[in-house]
Amino acid sequence: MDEKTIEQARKGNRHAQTALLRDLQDPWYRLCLSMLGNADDARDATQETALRFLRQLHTFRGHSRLKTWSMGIAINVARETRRRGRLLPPDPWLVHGADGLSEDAPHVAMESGEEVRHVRDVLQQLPHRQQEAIVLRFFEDLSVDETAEIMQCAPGTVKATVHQALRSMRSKLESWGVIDAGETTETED
Amino acid sequence: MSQLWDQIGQARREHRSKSYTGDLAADVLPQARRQSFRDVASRALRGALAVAAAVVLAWFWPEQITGPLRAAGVLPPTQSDPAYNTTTTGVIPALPDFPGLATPSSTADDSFEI
Repeated sequence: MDEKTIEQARKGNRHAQTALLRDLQDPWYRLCLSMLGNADDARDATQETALRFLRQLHTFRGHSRLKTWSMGIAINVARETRRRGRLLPPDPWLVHGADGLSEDAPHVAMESGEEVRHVRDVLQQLPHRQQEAIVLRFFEDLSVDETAEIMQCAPGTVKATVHQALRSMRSKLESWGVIDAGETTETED
Repeated sequence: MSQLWDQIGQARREHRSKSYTGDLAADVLPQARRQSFRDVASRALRGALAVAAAVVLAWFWPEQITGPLRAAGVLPPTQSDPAYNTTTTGVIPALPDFPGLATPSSTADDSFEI
């Protein structure tokens, strides 16, 4: 996503807008899916994110990456959707396995299964803020600062939230016998 | 790598394998255009209404402000006000004649009407 494309998209150039949306649609969708747990809700939330993104693009000042800035919109849309509370039940593939994975990643389907399901289950049981922090930080590979910007909190808060989330996840997975008890403590830098 | 990180790594790969099916741009750009047209139209309508409201206010504003003030006696009445047409409420007698200043026309009947 270069500056020129962003500038053109801001001026209403349809090709530039299309290029930006194609770059950002998957991160938005993944974030919404992990927060809402249902493909249809995630799809609607992604489309709403795109509409808001196009409306608010003129306010983007370039202090952060466009992806980071736009993920802030996506997380707000997903939070609002969750708050409205009319969510569909979680998709079975999200809870029980690898169906529904994209065709270009068959290897993932093979190694996914019980273990991924356990982590997904644990993640769904975490408080929303912890869930968001884990998804942004480790699944979307964003830095602490970027995660903090998206979650609209201080970097220290992100570190503490991630630390608590990891501790809860480890303790849950230990109690289920998925991982051995007495694992070394993970730290969040 | 600890077992937990291993688990998280696998979940991460599974997470990143998900993608939006279809073309988001094709799904939302026509809608965004319609919305943008509606926004412009609604802004234009709001602007026109604001101008109309300003004209109406400017038309009635002086009367609304000065009417109560005139009624309260703060401002003098205008010619259109009924209070402008005064009636005779009393007669102040004229000054008495002074012999030295007497003129042929000054008599005791000279008086001011108010």
